[in-house]
Amino acid sequence: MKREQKKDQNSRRELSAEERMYMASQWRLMARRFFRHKIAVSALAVLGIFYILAIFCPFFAPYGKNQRLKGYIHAPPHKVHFVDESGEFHLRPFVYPHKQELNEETLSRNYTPDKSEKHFLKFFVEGKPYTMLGIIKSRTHFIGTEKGKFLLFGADEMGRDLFSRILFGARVSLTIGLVGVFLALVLGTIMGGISGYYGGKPDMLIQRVIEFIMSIPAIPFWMALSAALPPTWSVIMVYFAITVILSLRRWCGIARVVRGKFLQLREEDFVVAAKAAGASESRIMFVHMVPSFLSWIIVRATIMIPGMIIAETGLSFLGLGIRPPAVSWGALLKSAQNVQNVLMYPWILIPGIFVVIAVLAYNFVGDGLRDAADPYQ
Amino acid sequence: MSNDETTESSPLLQVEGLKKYFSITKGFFSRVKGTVKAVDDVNFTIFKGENVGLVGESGCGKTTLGRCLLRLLDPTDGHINFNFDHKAVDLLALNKKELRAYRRYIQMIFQDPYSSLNPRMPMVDIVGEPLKVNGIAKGDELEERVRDLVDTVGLDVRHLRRYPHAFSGGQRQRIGLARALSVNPPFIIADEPTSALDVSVQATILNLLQDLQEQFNLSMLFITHDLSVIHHICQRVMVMYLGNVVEVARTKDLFTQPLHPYTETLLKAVPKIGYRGEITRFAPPGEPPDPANAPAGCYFHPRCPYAQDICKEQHPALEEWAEGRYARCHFAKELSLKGVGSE
Ligand SMILES: Nc1ncnc2c1ncn2[C@@H]1O[C@H](COP(=O)(O)OP(=O)(O)OP(=O)(O)O)[C@@H](O)[C@H]1O
Ligand code: SF4
Ligand SMILES: [Mg+2]
Repeated sequence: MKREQKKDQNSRRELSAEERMYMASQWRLMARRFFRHKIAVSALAVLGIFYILAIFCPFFAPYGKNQRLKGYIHAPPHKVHFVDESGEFHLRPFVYPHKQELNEETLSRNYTPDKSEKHFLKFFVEGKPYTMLGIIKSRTHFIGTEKGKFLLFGADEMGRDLFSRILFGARVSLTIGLVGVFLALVLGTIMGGISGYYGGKPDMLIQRVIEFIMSIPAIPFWMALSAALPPTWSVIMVYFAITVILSLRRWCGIARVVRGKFLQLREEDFVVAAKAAGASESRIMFVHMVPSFLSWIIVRATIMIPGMIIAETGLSFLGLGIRPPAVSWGALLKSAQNVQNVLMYPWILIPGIFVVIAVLAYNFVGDGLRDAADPYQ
Repeated sequence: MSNDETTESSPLLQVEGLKKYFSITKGFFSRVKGTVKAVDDVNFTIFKGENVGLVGESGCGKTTLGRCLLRLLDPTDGHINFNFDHKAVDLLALNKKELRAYRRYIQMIFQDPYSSLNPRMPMVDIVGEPLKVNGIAKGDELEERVRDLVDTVGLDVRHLRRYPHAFSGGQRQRIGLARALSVNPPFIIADEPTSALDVSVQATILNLLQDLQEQFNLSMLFITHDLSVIHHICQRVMVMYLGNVVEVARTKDLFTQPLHPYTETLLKAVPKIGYRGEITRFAPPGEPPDPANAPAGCYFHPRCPYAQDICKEQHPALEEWAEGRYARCHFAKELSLKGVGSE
C-alpha cells in the first residue's frame, strides 16, 4: 500500500517535470541550457564579481583613485604573510612595511621589508573619506591596515596604489563596453528594422551608408576621431565620446543581420498567420518578430563587448582614449609603454591581466549563451 | 448537404479577373528582369457551404491565389466580391483599416504545422490571438472560448499553457485549426493542410476538418496535391496550370471524364477512387515550363499529347462546355479523355 503510494508520487513528480518542460518559455529553456554550461557559469560569476567591485570601487579600494602615498613611489607589491619570522602562524594575514632606500649610484629607490614590524590586514578599516554612487558618504574601506599601508599590486610613479586604481579603472573599462554595445544595438536594430520592414528607398539609403562606414579601416578611423576630441572636454564627455566612437562601426553589422531577420521573418508562416488573424502592424513587429531574434541579439551583444573593452584599452594605451585624471585599464597600461619601466616595475602590467580575464570571461559567457540560445532552431 | 440546398445557396465569394504578377528584379538599380504571372486572370465562384478543391503542380500559383484571397498578397488586378451578412464588398477595394476588420471572415490553415505556430507562445495565446486582436473576447472569457475550441478540435484543455514544441505535427495542425475557427469565419482556405503530416495522421485530420465544416457551416477552398483527398471532401474542383485555371467541374464529373488533357495526366497519378494512401506528387510528362517565360499559345502545348498547330499560336479561353463544366482547351469537346472511374 505504502509502496504503491510512493510509486504514484514518483510518477506524478516525473509527469510534472515533463509538464514543466512543455510549459517552459523560450527564456526558461535558454536559462536551463546555459546553467548546464559549467565554464560559462563560472565566467558569469567572475564577471559578476568584477562588476560588483567596479560599482562599489571606492569601498573596495583601500585608497583613493588619485591618492598619493608618501614614500611609496614605485613600491613593489606587498607580500601577504601568515607565518612570521619565528615560524609562528597567525590566523590574520599581515604584511611587513616597506623600508625605502635610495640607491646612490642608480638613484633608484629600493624597497625592503622591515621585518621588525607586522601590519595586520583588517576588513572594514577607516580610511580616506569618499562618496560612493553620488550619495553614500563613508570612510570605511573593505580591506586595509590600521598602521602603515597595504599595496596588493604595488604603486606607480606617483606612489598611487595600483590595486585601487585597477578597481576605479574597471568602472570605466567594464562599462564602456556595455554602454557602447547598448548604443550599437539600439542603432543597429532601429536602422536594420527600418531597412528590413519598409524596404525600398530607406533600405537603399541605409545599406549604402553601412557599406561606406564598413569600407573605412577600423583602427585609423577610431584614432582619427579620438585624436580630434578637444583636449578641453571633461572626463565624462570624453568617456561618452569614446563610447560613441567605438559603437559607430559596430551597429552596421547588427543592422545588416536585423534587416535579414526581418526579411526572413516577414515570410515566416506564423507571421503571415498573425497578419491573417488581423493583428496590427506593431503587434506583428513586437509580439511576433522581435522576440524571435531577441535571443540572437543578446548573444551577439555579449560577444561584442570584449571587442569594445580591447578597443578602449588600445586607444587609451596609445593616449587617444581615456585621459588622466580619469583612469581605465588602458590608461593604466600607458606607463607600460616604456620597456625600461616594465623591466624595473613589472607589476605595472597587472591591469593587462584584468583585461585578459574580463575578455575571456565575456567570451565564455557568449559561447554559453550561443549554445543555449534558440532552443527551437 | 441536400440537393436543393446546393441549388438554392448563394455565392459567398466571387473572384473576377484576379491577377498577381511578381516582377523579378536583379542588380543594383533593381532592373526588372522578367515577370512571373503567378495568378493570371482567374475567375471563379464559391457558394455558401461549399468545398472547392484547387489542384495543380508545384509552382502553378495555388498558394499565391490563396494568399491573394486573404489579401496577404496584394493582387495586381481583379475583384474579390465577398458576400456575407447581407453585405457585398470587394475585398480589393478596402483600405488597410477596413481590411483588418474583414480579416476575421476568411481564415487560413497552413501547410507546415511547425512554422505556422509561433514557438514563443503557449497554445492558449496562439488559439486566442484572432479573438484578441479583433476585440471579440479578452481575459477570462477569452480563455473560456479557447478552452471550448481546444476541446472541439480534440486537444486536451489541460495543455493550454504548453508551448508548440510540446506537440506533435498532428496536434499542431489541430491548434492551427482551432486558431482558424476561433473567430467563427464563414470561409476557410486550407493550403495543403495534411501534406506535411504522417500518413497515419492525415486521415484523422481530414475527418476532423469535415466534421468541423458541418458543425461550423464553413465554406472552404482546399488546396492540395492529392486528388484522392479532393475526391473525398470537395464538391467541385479547380485545376490550375501556370497561373491559369484550366478546368472547373463537379468532382464526380472531373474524375469520370475530364475535359482538359492536363487533368487527364493528373488523374493518371491517382491509383483508384477512394484510395487514401501516400500523397501522390504529380508527374506529368516533361518539365513544367518556366513560370517567368510561359510558352506562346496554350501554356500546356509543349507537354500535351493532343496538341495541334493552333495550340502553338492561340491561347484558349476558359469556356463553359456543359452545365457547370469549364475547360481551357481548344478541343475540349472533341477529345474523349480518360477519367479514373471510366476504366
Ligand atoms: N514573392 C514572390 N516573388 C516572386 N515570385 C514568387 C513569389 N511567390 C511566389 N512566386 C512564384 O509564383 C509562382 C507560384 O508560386 P506558388 O507558391 O503560388 O505555387 P504553389 O502552386 O503554391 O506551389 P507549391 O505546390 O510548391 O506550394 C512560382 O513560380 C513562384 O516562384
Ligand atoms: S489547347 Fe491544345 S495544347 Fe492546350 S490542352 Fe488543349 S489540346 Fe492540349
Ligand atoms: Mg503552395
